[in-house]
Amino acid sequence: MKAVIIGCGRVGASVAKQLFEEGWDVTCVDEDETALTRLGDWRGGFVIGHGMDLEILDRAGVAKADAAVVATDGDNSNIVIGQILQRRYGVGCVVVRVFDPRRADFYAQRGLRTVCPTKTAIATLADIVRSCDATPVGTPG
Amino acid sequence: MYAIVAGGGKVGANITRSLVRMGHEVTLVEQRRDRFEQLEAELGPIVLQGDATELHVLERAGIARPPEIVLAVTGDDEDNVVISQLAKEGYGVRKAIARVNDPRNQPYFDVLGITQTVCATSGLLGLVEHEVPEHGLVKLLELRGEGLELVELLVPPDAPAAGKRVAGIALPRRRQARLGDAPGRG
Repeated sequence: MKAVIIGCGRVGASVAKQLFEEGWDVTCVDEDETALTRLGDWRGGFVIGHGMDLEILDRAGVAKADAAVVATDGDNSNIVIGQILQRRYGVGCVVVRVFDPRRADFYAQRGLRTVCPTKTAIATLADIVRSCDATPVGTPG
Repeated sequence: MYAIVAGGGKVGANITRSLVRMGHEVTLVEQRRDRFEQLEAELGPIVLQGDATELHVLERAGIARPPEIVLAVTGDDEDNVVISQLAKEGYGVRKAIARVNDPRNQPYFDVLGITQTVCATSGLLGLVEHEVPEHGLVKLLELRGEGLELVELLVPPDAPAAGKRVAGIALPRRRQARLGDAPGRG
């Protein structure tokens, strides 16, 4: 099974390493070649370039990919690249990181698998506060 | 008419000025603080500061009315794609026109269904091709949505097709071409 990871920051690099260890054929794409250092002793593929570049996507072999993770630092880049991977290249499993909760919901309703770390953080933070043994003072307003 | 212009660079600012002069209602959205202040000083309260790819900013700009037209003319192609999609698919805006900054990004707009795009570089290249035509074909107009292209071809007087109507010429039917005679220039 082949996976392409677009955006090789902390998140992308860790996902790439995990999948590689589980036996996936993994290629990473990042504009910055120093992103390679995050991968350590990397034996998978690496393409230097921007995901908003069809040539780079072709070189990373997205046409043959079974899965793609899009986690660059730009929400809109991720949204656009994710849709292109689905519609132009027919990648079956595309997961896209979107920080903005509303944009994440909007595109999730349109068939893009979005992961929103902001929503997760909000829910977790609020849950922890609720689980603390503290009683709210008064009523809101 | 109500229009939302996303992106207050040279293009967005000039379109806004023209639309206002024509008597239209416009909201111009600009993200950068310094540029926003400049535009607000000139154009007044029709300028809104914010990221036009954020739904709450678009809502403050009145996207839910909805406007007759949204012009996505920021300097980032991915932002222009997203603005057009949010407007059309999210709020039922009938017409969204997007600026393509890098002509290599045109396929992204095409694949994602953003049919009305304007690319200055491609436009200029078209003009150059008009001066130095390739294969004798001069591109006149491309109608992407309709899958049509208007081209000009000069038929030499001794060619078999000379003096005939286009409909009367046997052409290969590889693609179902719709042909029409243009008013000749000689």
